[in-house]
Amino acid sequence: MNCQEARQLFSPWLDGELTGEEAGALRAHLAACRSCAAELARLREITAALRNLRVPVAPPDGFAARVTERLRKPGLEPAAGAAGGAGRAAEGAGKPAVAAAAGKVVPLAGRKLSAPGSGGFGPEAAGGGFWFAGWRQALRAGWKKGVAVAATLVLLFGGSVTLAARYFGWPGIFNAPVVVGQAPSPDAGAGAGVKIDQGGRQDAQGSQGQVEPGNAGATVSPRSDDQGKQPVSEPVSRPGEGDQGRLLAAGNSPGTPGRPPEKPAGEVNAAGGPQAQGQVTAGAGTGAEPKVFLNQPRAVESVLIKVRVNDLAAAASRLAAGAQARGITCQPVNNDEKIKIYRLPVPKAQDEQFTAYVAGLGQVFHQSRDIRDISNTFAEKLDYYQKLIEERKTASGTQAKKLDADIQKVKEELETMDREAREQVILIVWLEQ
Amino acid sequence: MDAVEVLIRKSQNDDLAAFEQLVNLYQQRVYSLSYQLAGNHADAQDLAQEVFIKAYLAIKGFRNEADFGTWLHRITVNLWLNMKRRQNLVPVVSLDEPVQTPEGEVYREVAAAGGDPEQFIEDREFSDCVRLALDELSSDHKAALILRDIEGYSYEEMAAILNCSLGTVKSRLSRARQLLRQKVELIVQEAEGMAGAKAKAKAKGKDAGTIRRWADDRNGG
Repeated sequence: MNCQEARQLFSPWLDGELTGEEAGALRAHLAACRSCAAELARLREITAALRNLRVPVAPPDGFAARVTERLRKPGLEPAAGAAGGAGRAAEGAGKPAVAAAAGKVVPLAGRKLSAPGSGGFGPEAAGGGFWFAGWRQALRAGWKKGVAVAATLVLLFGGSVTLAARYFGWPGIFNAPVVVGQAPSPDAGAGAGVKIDQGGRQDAQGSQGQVEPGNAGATVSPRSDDQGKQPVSEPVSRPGEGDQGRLLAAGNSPGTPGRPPEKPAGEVNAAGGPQAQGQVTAGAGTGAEPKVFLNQPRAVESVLIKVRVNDLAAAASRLAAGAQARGITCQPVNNDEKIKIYRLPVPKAQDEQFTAYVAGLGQVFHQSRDIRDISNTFAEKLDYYQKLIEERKTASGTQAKKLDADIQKVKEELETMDREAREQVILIVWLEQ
Repeated sequence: MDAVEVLIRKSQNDDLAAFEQLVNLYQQRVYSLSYQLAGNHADAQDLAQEVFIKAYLAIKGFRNEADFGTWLHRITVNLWLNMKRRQNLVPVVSLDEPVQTPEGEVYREVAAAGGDPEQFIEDREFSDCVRLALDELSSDHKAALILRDIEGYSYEEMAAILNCSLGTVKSRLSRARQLLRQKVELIVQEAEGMAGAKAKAKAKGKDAGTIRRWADDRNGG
């Protein structure tokens, strides 16, 4: 038995699921291989710790009564349950939350999970510890600048909670808390002509009280994609017209604007595939399901640059102007008097030049580059997207509408991820006075 | 027919009172898993409530071949996985609110006021590292580990709950453990790296020895 074979038995061994023969062979290998023995010892330690995580918890009093009370309410359709908690926002489940910097209470609508359109799921949201590895050192330097700034960075990276979990001891769970600062207030000069292109930032604003309980579950936030020109509401409002198919190529196929949307999804995919810059492919892989994007390796490159400036407002204006001149969206993701942080998707061709421009705003005291592999995240999202399309085929009524909205949103997320991986460098600019 | 079966039968005939009794019987089990998955009480409550709502709506399809509790857990896991996939909000929490973790409440002020995250991490116990690492895993991996190591389900039961093959259960668990081990190591490394030698001497808590040993292993090997 070699090491690789031995290690494949570790997991079942921990579960007591090995046959006597396998266990014997494993023991023999462990006796001869210190490295494997050490590895297994570590796994044992972790598994033991894991098993100790079990804590006795109980639901609150009156839990069962509340469940049945909800069931008694009229209008509870099966779809509500199937939607994975979509109904909760309407139930007023939004809990009070205090925006960190402002300290004011905002109801956080449909904070859970399922509300499409108010999504903070930028491509950065689904990263893992990997993403942060390169940043930690740099971020830590900013720690003492205050919680608001640190919190903003959490926001900056979307739903990823690694930093939060590490530094605050938060559990990195599905609604892991992310502190949102005050609504970003664009600088004079930056605000007017600048669009928000990131769901995360948009959501950060929405959380300042614009999102209300009850509306979160049904809407797609209107936003301007910096490539796709299609209004998001259009496909959403056309259930049952094979609009999935159109969605697939929309925004990615500038060369095919006049393509009729009425074809069934599969056909459109087949037709749209080669046209859409190689992103759309017909039934690749499984064959049965429509595929939108090539499931290929993707990585997002990012640059963190910290610049010390004399006049923060002036530097912010210059940054905004420089970005605008290059057609780059620019919006601060925090609101702090001493430090402003931006996340700018910069076309690869302009990366060096624009980074140099940013460096010229003041004195650069930190600069680092990181690459994050998003292939898995993308693949997962793609799976989910296809699942939604499958569901949509048999859906009708409000459920269909909701699915359409979901499909559209996920599609946009896929597009953003794809675009950032292929065409852009994410520049994170930290301006400090 | 035992009492549970009777209640199920009645619930299948739209008897809400009977269903409420079922909820009372199974809420502990559902809540416990919800809590492990969600990581805090507020979300565990919401998740558990959704589970029972969904269960009621689907109960006509329940056959007594399966254990009702396992069936509920299946709903729990699937709802949670779905929610995770649909997750798209940036949740907001108050800086003034205590933050729930399975180990108890942590006030962020502890971290903030101390102003020294290094110290904060340094003092964390090994099990905290494991919990952090677990929460960093993908939902599928996390769910698999929770079902197996925390809930104690067999491979067969897991296959039923996760609606996948035995082989998938095995490989997913194996992969999840591998990844968990890597993540724990990273976290420990980080704690160690930040804290430095000084922290080694100062490390407290029952698991501090484990953290030290891990770090030493790494340095030595």
